[in-house]
Amino acid sequence: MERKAEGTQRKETRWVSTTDLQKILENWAEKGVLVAPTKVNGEVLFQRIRDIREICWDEDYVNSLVPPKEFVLPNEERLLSYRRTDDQNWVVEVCSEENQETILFGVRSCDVAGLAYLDRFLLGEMFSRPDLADPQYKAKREKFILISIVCQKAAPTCMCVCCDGGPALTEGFDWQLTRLTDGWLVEIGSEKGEKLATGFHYLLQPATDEAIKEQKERVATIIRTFDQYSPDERVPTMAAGRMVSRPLLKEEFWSRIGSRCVECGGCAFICPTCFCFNVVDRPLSPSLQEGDANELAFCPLLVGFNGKGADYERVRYRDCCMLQGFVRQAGGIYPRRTTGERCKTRFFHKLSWQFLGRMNRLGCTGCGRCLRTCLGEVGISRVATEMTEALAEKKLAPAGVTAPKREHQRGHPK
Amino acid sequence: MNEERAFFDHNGLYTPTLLRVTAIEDEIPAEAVTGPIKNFVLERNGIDFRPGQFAQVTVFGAGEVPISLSSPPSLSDRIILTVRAAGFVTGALHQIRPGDVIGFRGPCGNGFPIEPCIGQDILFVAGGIGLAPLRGLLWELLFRRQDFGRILLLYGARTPRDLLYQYQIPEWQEKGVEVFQSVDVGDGVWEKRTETPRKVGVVTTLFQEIKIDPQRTVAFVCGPPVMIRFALLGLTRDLHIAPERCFATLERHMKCGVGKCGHCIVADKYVCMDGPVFSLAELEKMAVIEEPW
Repeated sequence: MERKAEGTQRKETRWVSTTDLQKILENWAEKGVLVAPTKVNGEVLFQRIRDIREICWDEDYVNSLVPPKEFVLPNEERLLSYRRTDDQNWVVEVCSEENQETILFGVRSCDVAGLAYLDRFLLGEMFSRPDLADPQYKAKREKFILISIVCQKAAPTCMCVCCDGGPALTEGFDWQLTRLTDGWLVEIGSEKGEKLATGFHYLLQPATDEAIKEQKERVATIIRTFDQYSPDERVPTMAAGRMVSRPLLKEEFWSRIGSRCVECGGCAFICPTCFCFNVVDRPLSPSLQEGDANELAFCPLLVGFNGKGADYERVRYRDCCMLQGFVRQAGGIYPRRTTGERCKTRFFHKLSWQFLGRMNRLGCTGCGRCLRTCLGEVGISRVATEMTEALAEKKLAPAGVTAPKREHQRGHPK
Repeated sequence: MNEERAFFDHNGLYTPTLLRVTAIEDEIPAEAVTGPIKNFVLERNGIDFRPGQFAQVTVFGAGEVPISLSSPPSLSDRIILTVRAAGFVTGALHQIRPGDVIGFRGPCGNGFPIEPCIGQDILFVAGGIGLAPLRGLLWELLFRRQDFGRILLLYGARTPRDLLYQYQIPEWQEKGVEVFQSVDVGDGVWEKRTETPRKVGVVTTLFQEIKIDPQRTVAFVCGPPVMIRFALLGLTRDLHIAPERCFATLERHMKCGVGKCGHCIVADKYVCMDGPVFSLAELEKMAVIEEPW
């Protein structure tokens, strides 16, 4: 998309005061859709807001509980619906919704990198087949304007510094904001961002050399002090990449990792780069919508398969390669039966050089959400660190031995 | 290639085209070991494809599954799908009647390389319903028979009843295909017949029956995973065919067929976009990470 044309050119910069930034958001919330971080029961979540007083500002949070991929690749999405017209004929209706131009405000760099990863895959760039771009994703993504805010402190689970996911980026965003002592530095990263800047030119001012210098210093400071905030979690990407790409890890290693996986699927559902989905056809009938026959929703043959006038919808919903039935096929072909084999596939996709080459970046942006979500210590930094330990030990612990538990706060970092 | 792009552009990536089922033929009876297999003849409707490609087939009210196309593209008025009732959607497909409408999305995948095979000898190795995708290629080669050298078909199934397309074999032999068949378990009658050279045993036992020139032979393999594995091993070890000259087509349950859903990943390849046809050279690279069979 626009990222490519930008290349490594120097970004255009502006300066905006806090009051003027609020005016921009206020104005947008009135005429368009504004999605911003809000506090809900102590957790930070992205939501559509109409009053900018609801915004949870960057100093009050490090990152949201779930990544904003929710808005471009929803948990559940209807692809089409169809209904029987007579005994032998069906009519298919494609679902197309009008998407309004939306500002996604306050998104963090790791999630911007995650969206860029999704773009490369779902828009068909990885296969050099932009003609096979996912239409639902594309329609939503094209309408999204990303305004990211550079993090100035890290959470204990943050590891963007080793995964090329922050704290500041050079591409992928439309606007990148950095909070300065006075006001904000605005970096414009795309045509969409330029258009937005033109629209609000009366509220933006040219960035002074001091402001640009201060921004650089602030980014340097957070990188320098990253260890103070996040001392434990790192992804040793080169070493771990080597271990999965060659591959040098024995089966026992993976069965040991797999023995800790409880197959909840959480790691994929909250990962900013995970895109896998499943597709089902299910009947749409008033009784089902009222919720009195939910158990029938996944048994289409039981509800009017031969009945006239039955309506069905085809939905896709999030899926996870760590779940048991992910690759099972009718007819008895069933690869990756064990949790260990599935862990191997997952971390191969995230860290291998093969996918690094195909996707132009690692499948991890270092947001650290899998560490907070995982019930079984299968978070990416833990596994990657164990990979390097396996390399150092040159021998592997017997299957079933769990890794030493580390004290770690599971709650959302404030 | 251009036609495919136009097809998806016109319909939207996830929207099936409606095709009418003009005829349904029983191929293998329900009592056979592999269960019922039927041929579904669809109207062609101008859809262009290459042998070895597959389609996402919708059974309305049940769901969508990937099915390989078992007829040659040169057969201009129809598309044939050979389907075993193996699961939920294929089970529902077996219930439909001639005249019903199904959804068709595709063609998907890369297909078999035909042009590089011109002037070469072709060896097919098929197991069970794995003959279905190879049949499209076999017929395509027979339509331009003079372009190719010898054509050999080694076909194995569990029992004589489970052998597909037996009624077409005389026609293939007439057109110069050398057919060898095997069954895992015989029935006493089949072994005694002499229309084709035959054996009791797995399909790889037929390798001893043939003499080929490995320098000018290209092999195409399809069947259950374990059969693909041993057939490829036999082709390189016993028949000395180079890995670059052996091709196998893989099976995965794709949900999208267009490189989006992630269900068909094997190592760093997506079977629906990079495959389903891979050379053994590629498969060996994948097998270092994850066994593709």
